Amino acid sequence: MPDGRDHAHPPSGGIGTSPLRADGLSKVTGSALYARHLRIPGMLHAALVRSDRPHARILAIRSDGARRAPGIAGVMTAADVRLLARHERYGPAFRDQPILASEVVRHVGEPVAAIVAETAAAAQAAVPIVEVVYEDLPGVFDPVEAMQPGAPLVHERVEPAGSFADLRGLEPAAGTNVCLHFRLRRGDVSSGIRNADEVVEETFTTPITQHLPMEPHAVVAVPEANGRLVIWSSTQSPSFVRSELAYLLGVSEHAVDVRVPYLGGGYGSKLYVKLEAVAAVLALRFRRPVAVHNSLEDLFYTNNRHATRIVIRSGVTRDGQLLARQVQVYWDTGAYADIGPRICQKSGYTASGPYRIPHVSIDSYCVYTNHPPAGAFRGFGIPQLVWAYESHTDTLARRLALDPVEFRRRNLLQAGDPQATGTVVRHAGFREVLDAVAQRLRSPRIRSGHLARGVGVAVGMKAVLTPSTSLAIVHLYGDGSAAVATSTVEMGQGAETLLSQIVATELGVPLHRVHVLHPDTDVTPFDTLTAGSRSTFHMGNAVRRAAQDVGQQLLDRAARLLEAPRDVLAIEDGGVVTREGPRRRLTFADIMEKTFGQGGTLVGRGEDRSHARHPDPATGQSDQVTAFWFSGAAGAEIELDTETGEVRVTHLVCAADVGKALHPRLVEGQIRGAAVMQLSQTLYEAVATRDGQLLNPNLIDYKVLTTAEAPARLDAVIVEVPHPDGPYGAKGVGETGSFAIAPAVANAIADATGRRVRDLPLTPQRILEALEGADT
Amino acid sequence: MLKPFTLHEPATVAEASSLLGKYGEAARLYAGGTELVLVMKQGLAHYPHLVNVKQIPGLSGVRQHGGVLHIGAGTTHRAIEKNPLILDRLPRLAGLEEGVANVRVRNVGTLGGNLAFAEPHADPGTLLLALGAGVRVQRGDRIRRIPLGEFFVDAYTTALEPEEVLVEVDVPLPPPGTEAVFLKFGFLERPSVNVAAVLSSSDGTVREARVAVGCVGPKPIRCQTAEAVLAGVPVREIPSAAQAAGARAAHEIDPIQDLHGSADFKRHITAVLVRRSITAAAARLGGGTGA
Repeated sequence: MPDGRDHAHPPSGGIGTSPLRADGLSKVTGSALYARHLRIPGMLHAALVRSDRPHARILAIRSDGARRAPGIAGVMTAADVRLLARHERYGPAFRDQPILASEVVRHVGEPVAAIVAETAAAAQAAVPIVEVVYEDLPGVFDPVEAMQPGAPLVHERVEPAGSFADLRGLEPAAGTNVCLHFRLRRGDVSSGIRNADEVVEETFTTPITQHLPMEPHAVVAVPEANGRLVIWSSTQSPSFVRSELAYLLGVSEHAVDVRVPYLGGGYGSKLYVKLEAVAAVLALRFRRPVAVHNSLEDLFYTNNRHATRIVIRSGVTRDGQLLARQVQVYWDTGAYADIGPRICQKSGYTASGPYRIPHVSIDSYCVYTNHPPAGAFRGFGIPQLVWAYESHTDTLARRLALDPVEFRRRNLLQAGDPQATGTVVRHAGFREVLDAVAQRLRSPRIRSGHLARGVGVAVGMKAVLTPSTSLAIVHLYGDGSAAVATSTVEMGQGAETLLSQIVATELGVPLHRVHVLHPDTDVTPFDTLTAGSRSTFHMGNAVRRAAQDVGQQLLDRAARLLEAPRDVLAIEDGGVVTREGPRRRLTFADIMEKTFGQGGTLVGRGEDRSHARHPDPATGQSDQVTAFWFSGAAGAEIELDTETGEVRVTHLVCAADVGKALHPRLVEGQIRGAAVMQLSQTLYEAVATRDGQLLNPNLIDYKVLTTAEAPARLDAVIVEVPHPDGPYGAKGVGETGSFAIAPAVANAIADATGRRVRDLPLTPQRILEALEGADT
Repeated sequence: MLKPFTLHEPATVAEASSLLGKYGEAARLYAGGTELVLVMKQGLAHYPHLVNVKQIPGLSGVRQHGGVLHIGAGTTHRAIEKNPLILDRLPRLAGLEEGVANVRVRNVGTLGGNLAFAEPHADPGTLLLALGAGVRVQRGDRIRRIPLGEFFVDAYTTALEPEEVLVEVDVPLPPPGTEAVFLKFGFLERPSVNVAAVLSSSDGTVREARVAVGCVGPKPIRCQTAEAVLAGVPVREIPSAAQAAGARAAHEIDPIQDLHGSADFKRHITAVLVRRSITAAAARLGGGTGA
C-alpha cells in the first residue's frame, strides 16, 4: 500500500472512533464495482416483457416476430422455464411467485416473457413486438375489500416455503386472500375498554411507496462448463439466493455461486429472489452469460412498501394511564407475498407501541391484492405502525389535556416490564430517546396571520429479526495482515468499515491491514441476510469471535515459541507480548514465520445464532420473541401556511438507541439518512394507483424529497443504552431513525392547528381539508 | 431506454428549418432536451432525428432594443437567471428562473425549449404571458411574431407550424409605475399552480392589471374577470379588491383532478396566490418602480 494510506487510516481506527470509510476512495473515484458494470465476454442482455393487466389469464404469447428481430438470441416463456427448472415458483414465505408468469398474470408489470439479445438495445426494441393475448379477470386492489367473502381470489392456493425457521409454521387459509393472520391477546381488552374513562378510536392509512435505491436491481448469470452457475447480483441476501436457486434448479447448493459486489443502496428492495431466477434460467437456456437489469421504472413493479390501513382503539384513565388497546392492521402485500407475512407478524408484535398496557388485542392481516408485490422496506413495517400509534398517542394526550411528552413518559415500557407479547423488555432506551428529543426541541407554538408553528414528538420500537444466524471467518496471513470473509453486503451502510474495525480492535492491527471480502458464497459463510439493522449486532459478534479465535491460536503458538505460560501472554499492537517478567514480544509475522516456515494462514471461525420461541398462535404470547429491541424517537418543529397547507419542517431531531456507536460518524449518517428518507415518505411519497395500474411509476411524477426540501436543521442524536449480548454493547442502527418521523411531523401540525391528518403523505390538500374539519 | 437517434447540428436557423422539412414528423428540435429526452426515455415519443439548435450562433443571449428585451430562444434558464440586464430590468423573471427545477436542468434547458415544449406545468410562460411577451419564429428566411397568448394552443401544442423554429422571445419592458409578482405553489417535482400579476399605475391608481394563471389547465391563461376588478382602483384599495380578484380567477379557471390535487383544491390555491400576488404588487407600487 502506498504511504498515504497509513495517514488516511491511523491505527486509532478501532471501535468507537470514526476512521475514513474502507470503500470511500473507490466510490469517490468511481472505481467501485457494481453488478450493473459487469461485462462478461459473450454476455447476452435480457429484456422482460411485462404484463399491462392487473389480473388476467394468458391465452397466448406470440413471439415469432420478436424471435426474428435483429440481434435476438431468443425469447423465453413459462413453457420454456418448465423444461429447465425443477420448480418454477419461489418466495421466502410462500413459493407463490413464478419465474415467468404461467397461465395467469396477477399484477401490472409482472414478467411474462424474457427476450435475450446481443445488446440491451436490441432486446428492449423487441419488447413491443411480443404480443400477449389476455382474458381479463376481476381484480382486487384494497386489502380490506380483498378480505370480504366473494372477493376475487389472487391465488387459489399457495405452498409454504419452509426456508426460514420462523416462517415454517405458516398455514394459509384456503379460499381467502389472507395469507397470514397474526393474533395477539393479552389481558382482557373488552374489560379494559369498559373500565376506561376515555375511549378513542382512529383509523390511519399509508400508501404504497418505493425504495428507489440509486442502483436498480442488476444480475448477471454465468453458466460454467461443469454445470455450475455463477450469479453476480445486487442482492442483500446472497445465502438465500444460493439456496433458493438450488431449489428452483434442482441442484445442490455447491453448484450455485452467488457473488455480490457493492450495492448502490438496498433499503429492503434487494432481498430474497428478484431477478436472479430469471437470469439463471436464461443462462442455462442460452448457455451464455446473461445480464438482466431493472430500470428505475421497473423498481415500482418489482416490490414496494406495503400500503396499510390501521384501526386503533384505546382506553385510558383520566389521569393518563393506558388501560387497553385494540389494533387491526391490514397489509396490502400485493400479488405475491414476498416477505409480507413476516412483516405482518414481526411488526404485529409491537403494533400497540412501546407502552405498558395491561389489556391488548392485535390482529394483523397480510392480504393478497392485484398490486405489484410489497416486501421489506427500511423499518420492516414499523414506520407504518408507529405512524398510527404515535399519532393516536397525541390524540389521547390532547383529549386528556396532558403534555404529550409527559403522557408518554407515564406509560413507556421500562426494564423488566413484559411487552405485549409477554417478552420482558431489557436494555431498551425508550425513555432515553424520548428525553433526548424533547430536550432539543424549542420553537414555541405561535400563530400569526396565516403562519402557524408547532412542535411534535413520537417514539417507536422494533424487535430485531429472530432467530437468525451469522457466520464469519477471519484469515490471518503470513505478514500479519488479515481478511474477513462474511456474507454481509456493503450497500452503503458501512459494514465493510465496521467489520474491519472490529478485527483491527481485537488483533491490535491497523485498520488498513484488514481487508473485508465481498460476499461470494463459494468462500464466504452463511448469513441470514443484510437487513433489519442486524449486521452490527449479529455479524459483529461473529466477526469478533472469529478474530478472537485467531487471537487464541496466536497465543497458543506464541506460548510454545516463547516457552511462556499461556496466561501471561497478551495481544497488543499486532503482536504477542509477555505481561509478566522481562518484556518479550513476537509480531504476528514472527509467529507465522516460525510456525509455517513461510507464508501460512491462520483461520478463525465465529458464529452468532439468536433464538426465539414461536409465539402461541392463539395469543401471540412468548417469553422470547426477539433477541433485543430497537428504540427510536423523533421531534419536529414545523411552520405551516394555513391558507395553502404547505408545511416546512424547520428542525428535525432524530434519536436512536444504538447500544454503543462503534463508528459514530457512520451511525450518525444512518440516523440522518433514515430520517430524511422517512421525511420524504411523510410529506411526498405515494404510488398513485387506479384499478391496479400505477399512475406515477417514474421520478417525474413520483416526488422524492431533495436537498432543497430537507430540513434546515437536522439533529441526529446517538443514544447509548448498551446491550450485554451485542459486540461492545452495540445494537443496530439502519432503521431506528425511520420509526418516528411521520407521527412527529403530524403531531407538530396538530400542535400548530388543532387538526389531525390521518393519511400519509401529509399533502397540502389533506392538511387544508383537516383545517376545515372538526377539532381533533 | 433511450432509443438511438441521429443528432443534427445545423449552423443556421434556415438550415434547421430545412432539416425539419426534410424529416417531417421524424424530426424534433433539440434545445436542451430536459423535457424532450425525458419523454423519449419513457418511450412516450420517439424521434429518429433531433435537430440541435443550441449551437446556432446568435440564438442565445439577451439584448435590449428600445423598450423591448430580446431573449434568444437558446438562452439557458441559468444564463437568464444570472444575466445583468435581466437582473436589472426584469428581476422577477430572473427570480422565476432561479426557481426552475434544479441547477442541472437550468444549465442545459433553454427558454425557447421550455415554451415550445408547452408542458402545462411550467413557470416561464405564466409570467411572460402577464408581461405581454411574444415569440419570433422563423421558417427559411421568413420571420413572424406570435403573441404568447396565441402561441400556447393546448397542452404540448403551440402555434408553431411545420419547419418553424422559435428564435427569440421579446418582452416589452414594464413602464414606470409597473410592478410584477410571480408566485408558485407545488409539492411535486413540477409546480401545481403558478400566478403572475402585473399592475401598472399612475397617480396612485392602477391603470392596467394583468393576471395570468398557469399549471391548472392545458396552458397558461389570462384571467380577465380578475383583471377587471383591479383596473381603475386606487393602489391603496387594491388589497381589498385582491380578494375578489382571487375569487374570480378561481372561478375562471377550469382545473381537473390529478396527482396535484382536486379541482376544488386548485381553485382554492389559485384564489390565494392571485390575492397574494396582487397584494404584493400593490405593496411594491407603494414604494419603488420597475418590474
